[in-house]
Amino acid sequence: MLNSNQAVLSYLELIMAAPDVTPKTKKYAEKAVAHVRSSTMLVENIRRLLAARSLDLQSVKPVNILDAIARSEREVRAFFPAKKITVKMPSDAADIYVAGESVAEYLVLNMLVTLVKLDLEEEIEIKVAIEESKVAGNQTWAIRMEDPNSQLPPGFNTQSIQSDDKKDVSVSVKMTGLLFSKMIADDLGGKFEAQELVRQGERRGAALVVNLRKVMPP
Amino acid sequence: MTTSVLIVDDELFIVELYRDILQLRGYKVVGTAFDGQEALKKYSQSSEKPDVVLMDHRMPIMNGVEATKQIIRMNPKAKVIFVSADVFIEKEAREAGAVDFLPKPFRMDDLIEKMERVSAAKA
Repeated sequence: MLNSNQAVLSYLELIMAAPDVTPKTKKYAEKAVAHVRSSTMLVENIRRLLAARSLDLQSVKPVNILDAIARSEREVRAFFPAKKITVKMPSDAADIYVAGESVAEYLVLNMLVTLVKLDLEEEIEIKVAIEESKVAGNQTWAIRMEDPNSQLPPGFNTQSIQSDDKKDVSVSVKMTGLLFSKMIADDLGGKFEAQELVRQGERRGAALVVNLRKVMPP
Repeated sequence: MTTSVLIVDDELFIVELYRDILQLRGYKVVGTAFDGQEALKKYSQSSEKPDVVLMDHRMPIMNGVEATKQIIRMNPKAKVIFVSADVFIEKEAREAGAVDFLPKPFRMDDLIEKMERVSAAKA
């Protein structure tokens, strides 16, 4: 499946780069790129989850989460070429290290992709805030990503993304990014939450918050 | 001088894809192989060694890591770019002698960037 997706993706890129392509065709190709990448990510999520489950939490390597978000921002732009995406990082943040190796980086990429998929606007601005926080007595960094136009799926609530293996939870495609984020954060010894933002009784976007264990720089 | 490439992948349509992209960008595809053993044979029999080998991992008969090790044994200066959907194989691929690793799915520009970097190192 990944090889087929690779072929579709690359031929779409060739179409987009062709000198005689019309703007309308280019737009359709850009939208197709996002769908192929989404399909690939579903497969990749399973592999990353298995990787997270095989990590030894005591010896897991640190990752600079600001660098990871910056790399993920570039990746998410390639993911959705038809959208103009800006990720606003906290201006005062110094190096911030969390436990989680490449799995933590993939988690923040997944959070960005999920917010963009839930936002129908063409111009998207995601604001990132990071603060220290305690979870079950452990020091963590809470990484909050907020998009004023993202809409969580109707009927969504935090309970519906509890990763209880005994429950038979039917998960819609829109929910898989949220479910994956929750499961992987749990496996890294952290916590994940999706919040619907409401102001004056109206929906005003969504925020995804992950707490990851704070560690010392390598 | 044009950079020459040997493409190694067991999926015919992926080989064709690489060929389409690389030829469009001015690279010369000097050979293709569908498993590691065939790659070794083509590499050893070529009078002018390809500048770059694009190597898949999961292939029948002989996988990409083993083929990379043997190519490097044959020519320690060989430039192998490993391309795989399995990101967990990167460490093993580099230890085998691959100069770079490209995870699938990749963007065309990522492939070209890696090709250019390896070609520049060759020059």
